[in-house]
Amino acid sequence: MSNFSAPIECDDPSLVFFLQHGARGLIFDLVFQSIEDIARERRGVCVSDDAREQQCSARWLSSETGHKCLSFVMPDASPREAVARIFADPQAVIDAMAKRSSLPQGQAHGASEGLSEATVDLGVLEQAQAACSPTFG
Amino acid sequence: MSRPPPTPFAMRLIAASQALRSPEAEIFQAIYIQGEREEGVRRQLGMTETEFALKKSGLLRTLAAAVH
Repeated sequence: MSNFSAPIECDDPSLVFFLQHGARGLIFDLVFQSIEDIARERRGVCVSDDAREQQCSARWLSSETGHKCLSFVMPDASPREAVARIFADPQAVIDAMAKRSSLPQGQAHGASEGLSEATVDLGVLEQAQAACSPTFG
Repeated sequence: MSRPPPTPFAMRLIAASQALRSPEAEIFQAIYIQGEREEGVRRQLGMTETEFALKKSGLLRTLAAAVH
């Protein structure tokens, strides 16, 4: 594992890997972790002092960025309907996502690995972007 | 033929990850940039499964907040 202190340049091969492979797993993990946070909050389980962060996850899923990431992970579902399902029964959605990625149900750790071999359609990834600062574009 | 520029979303995530302190940044790089298996990353960092899961959860929450 190399040091991550050096910034990644636009022509860095690592960035190409991220765009083609890593981004899919990362977006999946972002959505999965946010749903896990909601499920934990429903169960009244807070690890460390992350109740505020769990609320942040709930807000993020309802944001435009969250909707676009949901569309990326669940292309067959309407983002609004997906959010409604998540808030109604987060554990059921977690189980469905874990089953879809061929991992033990309810297991967040490593959830992206079932999708890690898939490549990313950059057009779809572009659709997943939200109101990002043009500084990075 | 020149490659299309990276998406703002991807660059924003990478910039956010670069602002993180190790080992979260190392986890990001190893898993999402270098494509290493999570179990191997965990062992290299010398973390227990619980420690690794917490670090990864913190990383993902930070990134989720960064792209809000």
